[in-house]
Amino acid sequence: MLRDITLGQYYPRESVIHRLDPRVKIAATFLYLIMIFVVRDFTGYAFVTCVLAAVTAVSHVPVKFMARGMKPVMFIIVFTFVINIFVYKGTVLVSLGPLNITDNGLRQAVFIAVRLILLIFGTSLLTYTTKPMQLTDGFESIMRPLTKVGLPAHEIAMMMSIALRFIPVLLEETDKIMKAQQARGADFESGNLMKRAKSLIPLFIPLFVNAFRMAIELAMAMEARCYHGGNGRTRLNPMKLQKIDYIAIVLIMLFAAAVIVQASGITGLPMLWPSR
Amino acid sequence: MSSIVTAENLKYVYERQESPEENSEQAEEPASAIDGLSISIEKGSFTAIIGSNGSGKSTFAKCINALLVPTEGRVTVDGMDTADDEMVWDIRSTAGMVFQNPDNQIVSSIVEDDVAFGPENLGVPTPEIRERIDRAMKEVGIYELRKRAPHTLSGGQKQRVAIAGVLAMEPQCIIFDESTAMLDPGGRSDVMDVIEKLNSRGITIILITHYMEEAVRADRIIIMHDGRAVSDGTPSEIFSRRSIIKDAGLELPYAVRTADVLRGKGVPVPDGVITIEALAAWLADYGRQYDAD
Repeated sequence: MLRDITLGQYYPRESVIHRLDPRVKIAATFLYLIMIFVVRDFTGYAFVTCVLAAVTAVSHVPVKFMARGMKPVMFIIVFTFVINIFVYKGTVLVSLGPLNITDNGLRQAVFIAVRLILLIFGTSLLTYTTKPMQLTDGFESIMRPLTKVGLPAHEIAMMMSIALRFIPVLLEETDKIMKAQQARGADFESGNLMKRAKSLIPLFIPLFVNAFRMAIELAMAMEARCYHGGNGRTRLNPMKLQKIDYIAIVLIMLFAAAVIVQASGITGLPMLWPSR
Repeated sequence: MSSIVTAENLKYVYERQESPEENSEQAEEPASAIDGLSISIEKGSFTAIIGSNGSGKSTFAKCINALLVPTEGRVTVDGMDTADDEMVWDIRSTAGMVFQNPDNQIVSSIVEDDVAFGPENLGVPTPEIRERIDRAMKEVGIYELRKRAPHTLSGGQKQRVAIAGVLAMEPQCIIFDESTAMLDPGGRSDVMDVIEKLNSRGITIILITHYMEEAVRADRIIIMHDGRAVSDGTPSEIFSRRSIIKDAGLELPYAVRTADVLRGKGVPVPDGVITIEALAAWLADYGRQYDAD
């Protein structure tokens, strides 16, 4: 049962977005996140949504699939929506006993909800179109300049990729230990929260011990294969920017410029329901 | 022929009970794991080292690879002293090592990336890495699996990935530290076939095992017991020294035991018959003669 958990969220497709250099995608996602906070009104959101929809269409990741990924965060969105709708002062629209829904509250609630949805959609597009290994390689490459100020970029990336490698191994291990404990009468499913949490102790202790043993053996195997940190290492697939990457960089820059210009108001176009 | 691995009066003592390796294998003997071992292994040979748990055979393997440095004595690999810090990477790329647990020695989530791990560490240029890993993966028969994730492979396949990873470093010698112990019979025979194939093209093989059926496939067997080499010779010599094998806490190969039973029943099986194949062939021959008589 534990083996059914899919690793990461990668959605394999042969699209332009999938083929982009991970560094470009990471940088673009980062810029996109900033731009969402630059947006001040709903015209801006409409523009961002159109761009996001276009990119999603090009990526060939089905919207349905992406929407399913939203389910776990739906609670947070609804929760912030409800909080926002009641806390802002302004012209009262509806009064529910001590709670008032104001025009400002409604505006803020909708605004933040849209922002959250765009944030999650946009960032998940990165994980849907980029393999976890490419992501870690991309992060390593982007962080490399920071090694000068003492950030162990290579080590962090190596840890991330080893973690990814061992997720299925540890899941299998958990499954095995769970079955072994159940065979001896352990009960993981019944009882209240406290009892269930307690019943996990005999699962986690052997799991931790095993994880440490694995780590020691892996470290030895890595040393036996001449691993000695990031210095002097070559790569099987070195990352190199292609033509489509440069095009993507130009496009994302144009997108950012458009958002900034629109939000600054110098276009003279009317703002749609902006915050004050 | 010159020797590739030599041990001169090697002693190794684990420092107290800190390493978990020691707990599993050396729990009853906090004393020296290896106690005065002198061995020399020829280039291109196929040597099996057998011994019961705690005999020091795994410790010896780690000493060859410079994962452990001798407490006393000397180990050299192709003339390089393992105690010399400068030589560590040369030693490890000359004498590669395949471990017991297939899962705990695969680093990457994609087979070909894992095979490339060794050459990447050695700083091999990118186009050459590609050549080396393709050659290595074809040689052990996992080329078709190169894009797969390791956790979707069987134990035998994973172990062959590990072998390819070592091969890609182009070693002269490969040490197999109980590499078949966790495999099913199918995976085990696949790995053994790969080992024989590598030996036939000149790679020195040191096979550490407690399966006698595997050891009989070697040219030479060394029996270790209590940190010493108690017997050394060809498989047929070794398996005629029954008392030594018993004292070392080992069992004779199935074919040898069967031959003993047959001899007891008056069937004149010759001494050199130590593999199941040889025994079967001899019996078929004997049966034919018997019928003719």
